[in-house]
Amino acid sequence: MYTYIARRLILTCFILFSLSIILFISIHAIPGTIVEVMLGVEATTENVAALEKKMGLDKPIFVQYLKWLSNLVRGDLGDSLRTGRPIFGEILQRLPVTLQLTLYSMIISIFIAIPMGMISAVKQNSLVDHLLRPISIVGLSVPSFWWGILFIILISYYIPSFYSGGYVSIFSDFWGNFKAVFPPSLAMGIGMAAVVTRFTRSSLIEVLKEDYIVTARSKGLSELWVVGKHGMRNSLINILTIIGLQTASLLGGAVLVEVVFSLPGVGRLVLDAVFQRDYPMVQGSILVISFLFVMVNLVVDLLYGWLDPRIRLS
Amino acid sequence: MKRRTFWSVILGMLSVLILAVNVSAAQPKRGGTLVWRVGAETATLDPHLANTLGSTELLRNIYSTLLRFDENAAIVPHIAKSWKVSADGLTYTFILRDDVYFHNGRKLTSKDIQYNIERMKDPATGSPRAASFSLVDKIETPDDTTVVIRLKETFAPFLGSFADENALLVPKEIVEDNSITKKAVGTGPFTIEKMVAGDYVLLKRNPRYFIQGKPYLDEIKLKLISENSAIAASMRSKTIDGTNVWGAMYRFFEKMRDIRMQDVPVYSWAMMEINTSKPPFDNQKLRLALAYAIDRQEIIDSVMLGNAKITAPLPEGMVGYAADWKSLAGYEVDLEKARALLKEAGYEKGLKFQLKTSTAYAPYVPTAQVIQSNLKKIGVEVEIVPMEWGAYIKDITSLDTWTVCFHSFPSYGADPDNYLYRFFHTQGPWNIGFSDPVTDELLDLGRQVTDVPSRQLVYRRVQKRLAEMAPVVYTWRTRLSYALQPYVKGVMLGPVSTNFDSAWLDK
Repeated sequence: MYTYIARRLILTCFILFSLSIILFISIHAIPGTIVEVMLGVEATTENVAALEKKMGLDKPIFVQYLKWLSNLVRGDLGDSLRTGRPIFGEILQRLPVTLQLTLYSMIISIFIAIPMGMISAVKQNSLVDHLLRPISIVGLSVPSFWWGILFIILISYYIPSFYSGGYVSIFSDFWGNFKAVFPPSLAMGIGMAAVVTRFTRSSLIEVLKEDYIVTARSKGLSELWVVGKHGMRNSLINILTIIGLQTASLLGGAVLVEVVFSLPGVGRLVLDAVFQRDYPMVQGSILVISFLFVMVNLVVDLLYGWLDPRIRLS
Repeated sequence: MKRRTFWSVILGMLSVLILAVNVSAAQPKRGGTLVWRVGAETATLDPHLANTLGSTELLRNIYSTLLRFDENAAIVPHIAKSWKVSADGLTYTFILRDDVYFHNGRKLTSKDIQYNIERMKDPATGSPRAASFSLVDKIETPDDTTVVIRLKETFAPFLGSFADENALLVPKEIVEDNSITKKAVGTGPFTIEKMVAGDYVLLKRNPRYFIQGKPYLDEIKLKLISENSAIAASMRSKTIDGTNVWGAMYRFFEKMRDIRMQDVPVYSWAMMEINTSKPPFDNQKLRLALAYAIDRQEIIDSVMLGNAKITAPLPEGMVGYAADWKSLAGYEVDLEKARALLKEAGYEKGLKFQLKTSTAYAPYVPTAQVIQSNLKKIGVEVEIVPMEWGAYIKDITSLDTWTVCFHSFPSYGADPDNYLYRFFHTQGPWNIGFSDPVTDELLDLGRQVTDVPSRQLVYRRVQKRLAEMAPVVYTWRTRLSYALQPYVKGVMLGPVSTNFDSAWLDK
C-alpha cells in the first residue's frame, strides 16, 4: 500500500507540472495585463510599456515561466504582483475559510442526504419517496449562489442578529465563525445533498435486490439491521465515490458562494487574481487547489480498501 | 408688561438651554471603529500608480496631499498652509507646515515635494498623473518649508493638481528600497494595521497626524463587500457603518429606515466614445446623426431606474462651467434630423458597427442595448461586444482595436480642463483619435486664461463645439449617495474627495 501511495504522489507531481504549463499559457493568453487593469480606462500605451518593463512582464513568456518554475522548485511560489506579498502566505491565510466551507457543506449534505436516500430507497414508490424525489430535484437545480442570496435576505430581515459581518477564525470567536460559515455551507451543501440523496437511493435499491439481502431477511434479522448493516455497507462504495468527487469540486466551486457572502476564501482569491491578471497568484493558488483535489481523491481511494477488503490497492 | 418680560426671560433661558444641548451633541467624541464598505481592493500600494476607486479609498487615509478639496470642491490648505501664484501665472510658491511627519518618524520637507513632483512627472514611473505635472520647468527649495515651482507655460488647472485625491506624497526612502508596493508610509491620519486580502483592511489612528486632535476615530475598517444584497444586509444589521449607494443599489436602500442617506454632487460620468481617427467615424455628420438618435432619457429610466441625470460634457456641480445641455447639438432626440444627417454623410442605407463595452460594471451592457435599439430606428445596426474588464482595457488602449466603446469615468478634480483636454486635445494623453483645430485652440486658451469669467466663456464654447463635432456621446451622470448609520458624524463627502479626518461616532 505504501508503494501505491508513493506512486500516486509521484504521479501527482507530473499532473501538477503539466497543469502549471497549461495554466501559464492560458492565463497569459487572456488579453490584458495587470498593468492595464491597474491603470484602468486611462492606460496609455507609454505608461503600460514603462510599467510592464518594471514588472518584468516584457520578457518572453517561456523566460517568465522558467523563472517561476525555478523559484517553485526551491519552494517559493513568488510574490503577488498586486500587493507584493508572498503568495504562499496569502493562500495559507485564505485556505482555512475554503476548507471549513467544504467540510461543513460535506457534513451538512451527508446529514441530509443519507437518511433521505435511505428512506426513499426502503420506501420505494411510497408517498414519502414521491415527496422526497421532487425535493431533491429542486436541490439539484437551484444554484448555490441563489440559495446564498436568499439566505442573506431572509437572515437580515428576520434574524439580523444572526447576520455575520464577515469571516472570523473559529479559534478567536466560535459563534461568530459559525454565523459566518453556516449559511454559505448550507447554500453549498443543499446541492451536494441532492446529488448524494439520489445516489444513495439508487445504489441502495440495487443492493437491496441482492441475494444476500434476501438471505439476511430470511434469517429473521430486523429490517433496520438488514438495511443499515448489509444494505448500506455495500452501497457505501458508490456513495463514497460521489461524496469524494463532490467534495473535491466544492474546493474549487466555492467561488460563487464566497463572492455572495464576501468570504475571503481561496476561490475568490483565484477569481480576483484572474480579473487583476496577477499571474503568479493565479498559478500558485490553482496549484494548491489542484493538489488538494488530488489528495481528496487519494483519500477516497484509500477508504475503498478499508470499506471493502476485497479491493486491494497495488 | 412685567409678564411679557418674565416670559421672554424664560424663553431666552430655554433657547440658551436648547442651544447648549445642541452644542454638546455636536461635540465630536474620540475613539471607536468606523466600518466603511468598499467595493474593491487596492490595485497597488504605490499611490503614484494607483488609479482605481479601490486604491483611492484606501490610500487617501494613509498618504496626504499638498492641498485639499473641501465639500464644495474649493481648494483649501493642507500640508501647504499658504500659496502664492505670480501675476503671469508661471511661478507657484508654497509655504509648508512645519509639523508634518511621515509614519516612519521622518519630517516632511520641501525636498519631499520636489521629489514627488519629479517622480510623478518621470515617464519611467508610468504614473497616470504625469500629465498634470508635465509643464513643470524648475523646482526650487530655498528652505525646508518653501517650494517654488516654475512652469514652462501658463496652466490654469495646475493648483488643482495638488489637491487631487491621488496626488499623494510618498517618502523617497520607500521608493529607493523598493518597499513602496509592499507597505504604505505616508503622512496621513491613519496607518495600515492589518490587511486581510479579500476581506478587510484595518487602519489605525496616527497619533502624530499634523492636524491637532484628529482624527477622532481610533480605527477604520475598510470592509470589502461587492454583492448588493450583502451590502444592504450588512447595513440593516449594522455590521457596516457607511457605504456609497448608486445605480441598482437604490432598490435596496430606498425602503430602509433608520439610515441616513446623503446625496453628493457627482463629477464622474459615462459616455460612448467614437474612434474618429478612421472611417467611417472620421465623418462628423455620421457621428452627429448617432447623437441625435440616442435617447439618453430612455437609458436613464430603463437602465439607471431614474437615478441619473443627462449631462453636458462638464458636470452641473462645476460652478459656472457646465453648459445647459438642452442648448447643445444632438442632445434632444430628433430622428428626422438624424436620418437627414445620415443621408448627408452618405450612409442613407445605414451601416453596421461594433460597440465594445465591459461586463465588469452592471449598467454598461444594458446601456449598450438601449443604444442598439435606438440606432436601429435610423437603420444603424450595432453589434454589442461585451468584454471582461482586463481584455476590454487592452482593446481600448490602442486606437487600432476599437471603433465605438462605452464606459464610465471617475472624477478628475475640480477643474474643467481635467475633464476635456485629456480626451479632446490633439496632444491629450488619452486622445481618442479626435483632432480639431478649433477645439485645440479653445482648450489651450482655457489653460492660459486664469480669471474665472473668461474661462467660463471658453469652456461653454468648448462644450458647444464638442456637441457639434460629436466625438463622444455623453450619456449620464449617476446619482451618488452615501448611506450612513445615524450615529456616523463628520465624514467629509465632497464631489471630488472624501476624508475621515473629522469623522466620529456618536454612540
